[in-house]
Amino acid sequence: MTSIYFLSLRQLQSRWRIAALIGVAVVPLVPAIVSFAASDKPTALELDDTLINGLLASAILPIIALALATPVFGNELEDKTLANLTLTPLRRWQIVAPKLAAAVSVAIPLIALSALVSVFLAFEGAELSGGQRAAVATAIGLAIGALVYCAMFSWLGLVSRRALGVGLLYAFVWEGLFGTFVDGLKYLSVKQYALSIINALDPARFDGSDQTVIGVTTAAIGSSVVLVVFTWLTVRRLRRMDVP
Amino acid sequence: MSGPDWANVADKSLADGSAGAPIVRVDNVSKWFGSLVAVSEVSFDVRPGITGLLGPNGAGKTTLLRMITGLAEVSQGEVTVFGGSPRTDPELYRRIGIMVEHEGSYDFLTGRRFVELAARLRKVADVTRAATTSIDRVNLADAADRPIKTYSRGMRQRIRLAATLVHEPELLILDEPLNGADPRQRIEFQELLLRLASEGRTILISSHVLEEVELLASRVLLVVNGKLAAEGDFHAIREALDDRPYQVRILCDRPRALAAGLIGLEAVDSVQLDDDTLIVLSSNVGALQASLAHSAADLGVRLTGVEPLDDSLESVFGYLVDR
Repeated sequence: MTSIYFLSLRQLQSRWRIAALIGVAVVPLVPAIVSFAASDKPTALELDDTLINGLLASAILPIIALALATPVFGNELEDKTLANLTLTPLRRWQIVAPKLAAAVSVAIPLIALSALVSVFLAFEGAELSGGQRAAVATAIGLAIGALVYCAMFSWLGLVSRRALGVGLLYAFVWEGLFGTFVDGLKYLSVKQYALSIINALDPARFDGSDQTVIGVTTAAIGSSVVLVVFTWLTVRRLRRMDVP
Repeated sequence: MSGPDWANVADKSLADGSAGAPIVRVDNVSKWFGSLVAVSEVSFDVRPGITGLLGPNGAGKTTLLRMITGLAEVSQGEVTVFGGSPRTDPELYRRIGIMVEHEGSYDFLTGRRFVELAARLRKVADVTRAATTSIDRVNLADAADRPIKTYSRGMRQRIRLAATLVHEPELLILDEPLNGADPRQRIEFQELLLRLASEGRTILISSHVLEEVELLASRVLLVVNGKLAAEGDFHAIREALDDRPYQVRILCDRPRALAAGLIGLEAVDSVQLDDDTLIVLSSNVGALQASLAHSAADLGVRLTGVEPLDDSLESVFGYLVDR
């Protein structure tokens, strides 16, 4: 399985992809730096609303997960190299697991580092206390979100040739738009799972927030179910599909 | 006129030494994509030795091979390899080497790394040694440490063949493996396949380049329009096509005179005279051979050449497609 893991890592290391992902990961530094320069310093709730919820959880997390998870199978289908893996004595889960691990092992450091640095700097710039805890909590919550998104988007890359577009629609329309207005959809939103975990790890930051966040137990169960179900669906798809 | 007895042709082939448990069994298999039927109710067995899967482009060869290898699911019927299905029992891939026609390779890897990867994925014990042996087998040692993206098409085919052979499979399934190979590589490849077959392996090779397979395959499966048009020994199939006259081109110094003399012979169905080329159609080539020399001598014609025009698989295809 390590062969497939390192092969998948190598496949993800195209120059343009790495450059684009680093570019996306540094975007949250902009509001963090702005908070240093602003004369009217943002509050913790404002930082939560704009930086953590509005930018990191809603955009940076799904974009990085999407860009790393859809190609792990999508590129193999496009290049017709998937047969190199399926025509082997490996069980299908032995192909899926290392590929998912490869996507996650790039996505999590990128997202976590982006969250750690940007949240800490934003709190420092806003002259707020608790920046370290908020940064660590955000990094952990988003890392779990990245794991779940990667499972979901790996499957998407296997079933759709337009995985990137469908994934963006899901992240921005389903979770971003409907998830905001339809309260019940919070229970079916990976972003909400991540935010709930952040909230549980740093509850003080949410004091006075008008956001309704699902419970951390629900978020943990939801994350686990989505992770397991989409990994299983990927294995099942790989077992049943006609490999090009 | 009744058609050839294909069942007898196949039986003859089996009686010629290919009996035993089939390595591959294709039983009443069909494959359709929406309303398009790519393969229709095909049945055959593959036994040790080299079997050629032949047919014109678009006949359904690749679809058949994809179902046999487990890359594609059958719509109807059953495919078994070593008594099981690779789609449900991947362990069977330890015994099978597969080279798919349009399969990609990881261009960023060197040839050696690619073959080593294939060995690792197939759980070969000594990866380095197996890869070196396999690369040597396809005569690519000099270029093995170059990235695949620098390879020519023929070199890519060879490195893929090395990856296919790296785990010493008992069954080799090769889809159009000679695409992109130059004449020298073709000869080397044919020699390699004959050597592998002599070691007791089962080889199923598809091609639309008929002459090269004709040299290799002890048994052929002819696929036309998604159906198995014929199976068995090539020459037995050709002989079974007795409802179609053979074409023989006769080269001589006075073709018109010879044409006039031959037209009355029992062995001659018809003659065609195109410019100075005489083509005789005969349902009994043996009798034609026996009488041609005498007729030419009687007519005072000097024969310079006699060439069968359609004793190739290409002509058999053409005939089967036209039927």
